[in-house]
Amino acid sequence: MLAIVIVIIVVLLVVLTAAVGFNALVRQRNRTREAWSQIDVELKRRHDLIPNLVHTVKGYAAHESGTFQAVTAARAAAITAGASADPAAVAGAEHTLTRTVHSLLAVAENYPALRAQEGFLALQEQLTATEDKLEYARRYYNASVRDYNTAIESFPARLAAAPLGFQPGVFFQSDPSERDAPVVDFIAPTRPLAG
Amino acid sequence: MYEQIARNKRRTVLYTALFVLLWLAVGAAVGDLVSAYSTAPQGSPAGHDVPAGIAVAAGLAVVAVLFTVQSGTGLVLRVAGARLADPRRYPQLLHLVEALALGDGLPTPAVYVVDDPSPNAFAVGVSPAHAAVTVTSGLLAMMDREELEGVLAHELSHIKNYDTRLLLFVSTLIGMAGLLAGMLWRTAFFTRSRGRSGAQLTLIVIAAGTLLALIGFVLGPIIRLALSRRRESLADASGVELCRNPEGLISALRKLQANDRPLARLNQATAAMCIDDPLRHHAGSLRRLFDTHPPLADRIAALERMARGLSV
Repeated sequence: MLAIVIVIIVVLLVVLTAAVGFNALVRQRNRTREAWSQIDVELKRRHDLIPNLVHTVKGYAAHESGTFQAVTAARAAAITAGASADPAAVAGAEHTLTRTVHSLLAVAENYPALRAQEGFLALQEQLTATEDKLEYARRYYNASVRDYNTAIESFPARLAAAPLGFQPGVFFQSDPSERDAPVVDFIAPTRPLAG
Repeated sequence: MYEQIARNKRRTVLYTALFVLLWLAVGAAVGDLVSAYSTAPQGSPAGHDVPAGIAVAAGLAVVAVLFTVQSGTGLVLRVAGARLADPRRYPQLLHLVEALALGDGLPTPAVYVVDDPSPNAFAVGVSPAHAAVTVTSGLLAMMDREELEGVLAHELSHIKNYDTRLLLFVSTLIGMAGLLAGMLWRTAFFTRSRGRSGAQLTLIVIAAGTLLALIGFVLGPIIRLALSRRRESLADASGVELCRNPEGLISALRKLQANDRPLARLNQATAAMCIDDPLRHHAGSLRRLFDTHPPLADRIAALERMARGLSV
């Protein structure tokens, strides 16, 4: 009798532990998905801002057509990559877009009348803000992916994680080639360079 | 970090319980006074109003706690004279708060501005979902984007760590105790006009005085302990962890160090929430014991150590 009770208790404990562990993994996976959707929101906002920016700069520097074409092409590529929702592909395309947008802003630097224009200043602030948010959303996403990956790779979860469909998350690198580049400083003239 | 958050939640419960006990004691004392000196006919058992006093006080305590949860945040903001930040006037401020909240995975807190030339900032809120960050117009005028980011990261860390809940409870409860003491004073004058005995008046005045003393010498230090100097340093550290840039906060604290204007609209209760102590300004080592914040110089030195650690 006692043995049966003990066996029942042990089985219940095992089931309970498994359920708690499973729910924790689901929670963590959902957190990474939510974090990714935040990144997605900011990427979309940036995609929406860029045509405005191109249009505004064009009014002052119509002859810089090479830069405009590069930005427009990079934006189209980034939107295509965004549809795939694959962090590696998105990171590559978005990095190219960041570079072309910054060269567009560098062009704008040469036109004082444009720089003084209110619409341009507001656009620039929005773009800076979006890139800031993107950076913070990226860090939060990567931190949640790290926690989630650690959880599914730890014992004993790793025995059951893969069969139950818990695939490891992919990090979102701001720049696949050179990390920790101070991208934001470049477009924020109000912000002094390091120091 | 999770441990810190759990400890803050526990301390909130502890301080609330202490306050309720104090309140019940006051209720019992008032009940005792009433039964001993007023309506009761001679010879009735002394102290039969004590349970009634306790019951009334308990009811008030429940109301006070519910009030804190419900509208404590709004009260603090009103007392400080804070207005909701206008997105057209303060785009940069709002963008930075949104970005930092994303980085911590927190809901974006409400952002308020106080018109005050003295630079300061504070955070309030029962939980991250119902929190607010407030900055003075002086801070906005003085800081550049990077410095503002450092200050806001510090404030968001207070929200994330539940420092704000702890402080909100302690501050509101102290406000309520002050209100209670004030009511006792008024009772004293009211009873005099009805021609009651001098002894009774004296007792009520003593009770009110005791309560005020309790606020000054017991609850005041509790506030300081509640968001102790260590918690400020912790918020500095986790703020830097969030924005990955110690330079911004270091340079912001340097500017605060150079500032001499005290902040008029913030009182004892809200002082502990600010990034820079608005009441005492960076005194010598003797006064340190009683400060809500470590000296700015020490905080800057600690951040500089972190900066060196990050760059190595």
